[in-house]
Amino acid sequence: MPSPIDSSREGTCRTGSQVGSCRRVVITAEEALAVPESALIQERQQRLKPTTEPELSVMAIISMILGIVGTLLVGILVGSFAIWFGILALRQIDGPEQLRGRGLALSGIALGAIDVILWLILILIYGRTLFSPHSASAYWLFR
Amino acid sequence: MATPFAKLILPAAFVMLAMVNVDFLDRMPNLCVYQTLFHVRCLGCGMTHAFCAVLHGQFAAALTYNPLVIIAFPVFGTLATRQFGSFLRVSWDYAFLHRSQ
Repeated sequence: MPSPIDSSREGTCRTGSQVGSCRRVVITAEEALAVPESALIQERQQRLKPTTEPELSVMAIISMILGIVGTLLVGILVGSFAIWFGILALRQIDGPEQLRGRGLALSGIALGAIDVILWLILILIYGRTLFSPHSASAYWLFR
Repeated sequence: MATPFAKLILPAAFVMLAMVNVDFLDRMPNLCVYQTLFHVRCLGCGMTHAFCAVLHGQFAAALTYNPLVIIAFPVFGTLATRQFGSFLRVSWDYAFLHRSQ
């Protein structure tokens, strides 16, 4: 029984398109009929399985950066975006892609939450003066 | 699948206008082609100032900058709000479905 996927013929196959990190190999119809379908599918799936380790989630990196920036300039805008991007990153990591970066996403959410809590404390303490008319400092709150 | 982040452009413009003072806009160069070529105010001139003034609650000043802000601000405000909601919804799906390839 011939093997459905012949690695020696890889260079000469007609459609050598890249799928992930693997090379798609075309077999003839006779070869496909000669082997049982389940074996063919199994070997194809093994071939298509990515060999590299999962990538780092970009959303998690964005969440971490926004969390750090938001904590430095205590505002509501950047921190809330850090929380949202962290939630998106957790959803992406749990998804079909199996990405890395759960710690980054969780710390981004935590930093965003700290930022928002600090902003609320700031508003509770200085809100009366910051939101008064003729105060230019109100613009600094919405970063 | 297109990225949902283009839906943040209009809301971000509104946020930037809310962060900036009208006096700051006065110091910026004029971007209107009509005014630079013919020295005539066009229909949309002063709209940025008017939007900024509305976002700061200065409605009388906004009307002096451009009276058409009565029509334009509700339209673009609704658009920005809807686009931000669309960003939240689409990015929620995008995070789960997006693949790197």
